[in-house]
Amino acid sequence: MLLDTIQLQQLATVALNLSVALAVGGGLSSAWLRRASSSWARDMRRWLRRAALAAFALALPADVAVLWLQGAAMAEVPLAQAAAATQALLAGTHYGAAWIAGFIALLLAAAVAVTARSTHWTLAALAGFLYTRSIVSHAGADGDISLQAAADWLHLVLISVWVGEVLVAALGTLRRPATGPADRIEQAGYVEALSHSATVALGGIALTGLYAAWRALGSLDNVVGNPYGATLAIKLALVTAAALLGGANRFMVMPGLLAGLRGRGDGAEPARRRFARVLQIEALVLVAVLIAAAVLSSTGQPGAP
Amino acid sequence: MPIKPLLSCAALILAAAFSTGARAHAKLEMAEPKAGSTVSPSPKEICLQFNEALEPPFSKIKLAGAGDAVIEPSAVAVDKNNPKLLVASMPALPAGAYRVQWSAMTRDGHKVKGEYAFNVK
Repeated sequence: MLLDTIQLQQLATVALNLSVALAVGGGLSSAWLRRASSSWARDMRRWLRRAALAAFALALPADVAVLWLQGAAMAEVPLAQAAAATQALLAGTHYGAAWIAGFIALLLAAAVAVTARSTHWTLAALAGFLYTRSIVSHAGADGDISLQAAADWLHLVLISVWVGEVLVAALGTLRRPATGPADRIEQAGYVEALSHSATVALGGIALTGLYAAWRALGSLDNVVGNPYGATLAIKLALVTAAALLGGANRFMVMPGLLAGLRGRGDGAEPARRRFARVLQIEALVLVAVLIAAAVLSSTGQPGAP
Repeated sequence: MPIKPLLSCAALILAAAFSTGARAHAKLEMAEPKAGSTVSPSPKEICLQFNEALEPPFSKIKLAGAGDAVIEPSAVAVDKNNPKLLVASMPALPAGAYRVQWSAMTRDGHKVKGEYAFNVK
């Protein structure tokens, strides 16, 4: 086989995390544009709705694939023979119970997003889904309700917020120029909301990430000389690179962009293009962060047999 | 900017950083018969105590005897009162050397395997 079960699990996990992040970022962006009435905002709301549908169309099958691959991995059988193991996983394990709860949350989020009823309920259901992922991760070892699981959940939520809003802005909302005065004012508000939210998310990610790393590694000695520590170091380097790109955009490009958008429009367009280009590079780095995170979740922590 | 909830959350996380660290993945803490021991008569059960609660369908014990012949237990179950204890009911074993081969899935969705040897006199 081209890829083994573990690598396929990592691939499905990346697809799941990426699509959920896109749904979270899309939901937040929709909330920021909820009351906007410019033609740019109306177009972007339509784009966000299509992006949300695409995100859920990927997330639901990816979640099923994650379950099936877990069944195959636990029973050590080929994928084609994993039906009985998957059934046993669903019927008789904590992992299966958490998966069922998570799948229901994901279905609810998708249903609310499809009917365009409430962004807040979509985001709440996605937050519930992410909690079911935390309790079947390394952080779930102490039980379903523990500080470790709560910190991991917060980390997942904030990573999804950051990755999702950067992806949405890089691929959609900030690729389209704001032409009229109303468009420019509302795009400026959107850029500020994005920047503010990403800054808060990054602060929380750093705190919860440090806590999770301390719990997993125990001491700095464990950072080197084992696959977990090495992957964690790569993830940290990538997060730092993405944060630096975000910081550069925030402090070097955004002031000119906001001034242009809120002034007569002079210089706004080149600044928007620069801002979007940096966001696109940041989005690529963040996809690499998600890949490192998926590898990390299937790598044994140092000290574990 | 709701700074108070953020600060409370940060304080909670920092406070937790001073608690004892926990390791994920199952670790065998105690075994009966013990690793490297010689027992007589043949043990009726093999009991393995882990550091974490086990997922019953994917936690298994089997025995390898002379010439690597596999001896399947008549039943393997997680103890009803102790979710960290895996118990295998064994048929009578003739004298000889045996290896206990175990695999344990824990709540974090990971599976760990191991083995150890004992003798029946």
